[in-house]
Amino acid sequence: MSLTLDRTLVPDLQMAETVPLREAEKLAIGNFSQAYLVNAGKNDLIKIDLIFKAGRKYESKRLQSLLTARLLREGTSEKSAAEIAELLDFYGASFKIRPGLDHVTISVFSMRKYIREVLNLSVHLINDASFPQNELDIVRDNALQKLEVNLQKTKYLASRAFRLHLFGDGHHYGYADDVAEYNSIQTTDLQSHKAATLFAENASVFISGKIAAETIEIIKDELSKIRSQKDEVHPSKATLKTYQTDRIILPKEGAIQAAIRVGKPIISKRHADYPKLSILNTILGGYFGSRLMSNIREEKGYTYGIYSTLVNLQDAAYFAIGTEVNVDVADDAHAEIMKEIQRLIDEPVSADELNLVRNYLIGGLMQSVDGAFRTSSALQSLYLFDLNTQYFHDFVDTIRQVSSGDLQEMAAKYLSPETLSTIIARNE
Amino acid sequence: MIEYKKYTLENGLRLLVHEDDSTPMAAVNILYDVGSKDESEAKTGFAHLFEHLMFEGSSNIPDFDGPLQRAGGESNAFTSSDITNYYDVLPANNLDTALWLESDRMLSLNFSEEALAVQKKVVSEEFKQRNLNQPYGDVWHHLMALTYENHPYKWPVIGKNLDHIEAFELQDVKDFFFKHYRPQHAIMCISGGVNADEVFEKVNKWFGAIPKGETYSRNVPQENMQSAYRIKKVESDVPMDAIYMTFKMPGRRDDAFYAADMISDILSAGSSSRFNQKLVKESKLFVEAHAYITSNIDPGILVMEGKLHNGVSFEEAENAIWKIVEELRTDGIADRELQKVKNKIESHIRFSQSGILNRAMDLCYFELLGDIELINTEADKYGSVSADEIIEALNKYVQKDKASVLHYKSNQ
Repeated sequence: MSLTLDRTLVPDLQMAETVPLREAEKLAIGNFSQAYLVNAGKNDLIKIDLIFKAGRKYESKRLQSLLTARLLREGTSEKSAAEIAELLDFYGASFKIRPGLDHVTISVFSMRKYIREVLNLSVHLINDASFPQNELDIVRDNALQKLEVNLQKTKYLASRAFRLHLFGDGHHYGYADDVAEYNSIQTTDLQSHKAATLFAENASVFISGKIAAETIEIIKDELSKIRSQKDEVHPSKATLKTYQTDRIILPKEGAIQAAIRVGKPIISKRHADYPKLSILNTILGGYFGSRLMSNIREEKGYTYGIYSTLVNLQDAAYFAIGTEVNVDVADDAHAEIMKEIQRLIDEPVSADELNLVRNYLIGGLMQSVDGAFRTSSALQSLYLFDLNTQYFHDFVDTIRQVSSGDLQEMAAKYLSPETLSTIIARNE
Repeated sequence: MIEYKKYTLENGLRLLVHEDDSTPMAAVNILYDVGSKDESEAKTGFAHLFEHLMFEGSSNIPDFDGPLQRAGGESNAFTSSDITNYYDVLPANNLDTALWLESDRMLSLNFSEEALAVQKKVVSEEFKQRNLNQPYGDVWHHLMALTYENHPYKWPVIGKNLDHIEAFELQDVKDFFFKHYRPQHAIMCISGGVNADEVFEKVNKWFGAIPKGETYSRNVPQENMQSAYRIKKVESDVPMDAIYMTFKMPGRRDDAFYAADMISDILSAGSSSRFNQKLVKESKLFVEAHAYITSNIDPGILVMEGKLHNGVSFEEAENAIWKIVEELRTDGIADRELQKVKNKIESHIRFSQSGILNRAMDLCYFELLGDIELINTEADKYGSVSADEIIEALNKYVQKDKASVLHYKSNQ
């Protein structure tokens, strides 16, 4: 044991110059538009993501996508909802369906020993879901009751109003679900959405885990049974509303905390400025040591948490800041948010802070591609936007090379306060 | 098979190392053997407030998070009624940074009045965000106070009320630190792309000189056996009525824990479970219904809860739950249903232990329980429970005169 240990000295750091992102192996499976395998790590657990172009963007009627997804495991031509649930539980598998604005993602998690049975059933659900009326009634009823609970939360009200404001009620990204729309959905709407969207040519599949050759053959064999169809999907033709800055107050009686959202539509990750903007966003509100957290939580104690984020959709992207604060300090918190943004425009980020964020981001990227499951997710977020692993490596280079002048330029170009909208849900 | 090495430093700090050469990252997990059960009833919420203060600077380092982020790392923590758990994940070649930070805050905090004042506000906002500004957010406050008479599990980890949090002083922080945050009360696990012997040397360098504190004997008030049905009714501004029922069950170190835990799985694990099929789908009395356990070290509870469909009375709802319990008692569990629950548990354990951080957390927790091998044997412990043992546990713990029932009524 060293008696001369000087605890005031910071240990030397070694930062990686590159982040190893494994390439996926391309597979040919049935008629899938894309099929990839990430074979790595030590766990013989398997995750398969089936990503269909079947989200809100492809609806012919509102809520069609959400409810089709919710009912997919609630009955087929051969099996009742109860039988399906029993089988999935028996295999210890998970069949998770995430209905999104663009895609519907079905994630199947399974132990190796039941993979054939689990996939056989999964494919059967995708091919033969029958959408029984009784199950629709239950799902709809429960969704409506949950909507009622959510409408009591200032956080939910603010997020919902925020997206509505950005994209408009007339657009599939913007509309807010309501009772009348739930009630107008028929089982035939779900059947037609499934028929129009859930087929192999309209899907990408990502297989991940530590998987032996013979297991890969089983997976290919089962997945190739997903039905094939020649017709293409029809995306909605709705146009995004012209964005205008606004300040909206949503009254919520009795609320103890106000929910604040600040943001705007912004460039997507396909734009050349995006990596720099993303680094700027990290400095503003993308990690625990961010400007917003340091000021509004750590210095003022106004909130438990505050974040800023960039969200990428296929046909739009947006910037959003979110927090819940004590009602008494809502206006002050909002003013501080705007002040922090203005500060990014007015003052260069110090070398010290920029250096910290560089290292933090590189560590974060290393973690984001650690293991087969995470690598698969990282690749999905590239491939689904027609980007490749070179984009990821260029991103790492940008992190290492970006200057505080670049960041100031990004702030002035994209985050100018007069272009941002504010939504506050609060007690009046 | 998850392998690990165990070392004990002279000051009593226990170190576990789990090597995984497939990752360039390392996880550092430190469990302190202190939770809200170590608080006094007049001063609740302190273990958790204290967790916040651990990030506000230590004897030689003014800021915890900055240097870790600069090393490409990230940290967080949680407090439960039994433990307080801190973790860092960072590139393995910067492990020294995490050890420097963690050892300095184990040595001593900087005890700043200003940091205490700000974190009291932050925790108050956390309290509001989670418990006051949220429909059903105060359920746990009512439910634990009803269920426990003596044991400190009767208040939630966040604390009984905002006044308690407001009242803490710097002396409380110092006393708590030097009583509970000593090396002999901590278990550390380092996992990931590391070499065990090198890790031991590094840990010895950074933590070896931290003085061992006083050893104290824990004296937590225990519950008496409950012998009568308890009920509490509250009204609140929520859209739906909800019912909550609790039953005491064996603690985490008790061999009887596993069979009792599986009652909740039989009732409610997965959408094929009895609760979901019968209460939500067939009878449509509930919008949702769940059973789960709190998994505490001292005797914890089995909870059954659900949100009632409009127009369903509390009486109908409670009767429907009892009917399922009685059917289970009489009819028992079929082989396939038991196997299903065991498969689900095995899968859950294996997926949850697929990352280095979760493995490190589990290793520390099992070491605290006194049986680190549970990391490899837990699935088998569940696997060897018989249907009869689950029914015996049901008969022993789930009875009307052992129930505590909360009716949470909508006034909308």
